[in-house]
Amino acid sequence: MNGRLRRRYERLLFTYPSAYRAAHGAEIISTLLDAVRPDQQLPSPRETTSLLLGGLRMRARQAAKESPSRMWTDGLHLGVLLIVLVNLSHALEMPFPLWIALVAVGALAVGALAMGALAIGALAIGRLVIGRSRI
Amino acid sequence: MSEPSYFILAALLDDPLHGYGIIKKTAELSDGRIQLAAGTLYGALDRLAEEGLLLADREEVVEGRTRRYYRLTDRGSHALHREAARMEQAARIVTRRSGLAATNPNLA
Repeated sequence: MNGRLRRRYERLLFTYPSAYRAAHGAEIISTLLDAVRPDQQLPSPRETTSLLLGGLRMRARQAAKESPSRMWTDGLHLGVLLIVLVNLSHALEMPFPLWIALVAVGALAVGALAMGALAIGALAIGRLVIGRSRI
Repeated sequence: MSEPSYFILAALLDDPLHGYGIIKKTAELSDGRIQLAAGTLYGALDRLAEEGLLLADREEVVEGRTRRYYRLTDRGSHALHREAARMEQAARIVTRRSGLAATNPNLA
């Protein structure tokens, strides 16, 4: 039944890591189709949001599992940058308060996280759009 | 333990259930308060399986739909009962007081 709705849900699953999709995709689609109203043609906004967020979370968890050292090296780089900035301010004898360095490093950290999330999001949206244009 | 996790484990106390079965049972147990979306449900199932609290039991394909059943492990059952005892104890702090207030209007 309802092949079109099934395909739409399958496209939403592209936010999930491929290995997870291979193992659980079929059962998730079945669960989604079990839960639809008889006249439903489109994925519900609630299920759509939940799948997009669920997929991103699963990717984040997988990335953390595969390379926990990555997070530590990123943190280390930011720490080194902070020390360099503080030393630089002393060397130049500039009134370069510590809080500016802290804010700068904080912004970099937030920026790095945001870039990562954006990259994943853009990838997912790109796949959805490409998937849709193929119909 | 988060509330959805608690209700998912509680839904599996009697029998193994598949995804949609868990969604229906958690809604029933929580008087409709917990309406799990699939993304939330499978995220929680993955985490709970990783913690060894439940596991995938068997898989069936019925009319083109794949249904995997999940069941509680002994560890999951212990964790659930521990959490229930903790909440009962926490609830008693308040319910004992409101019980007093109900019998003695001066305390209300």
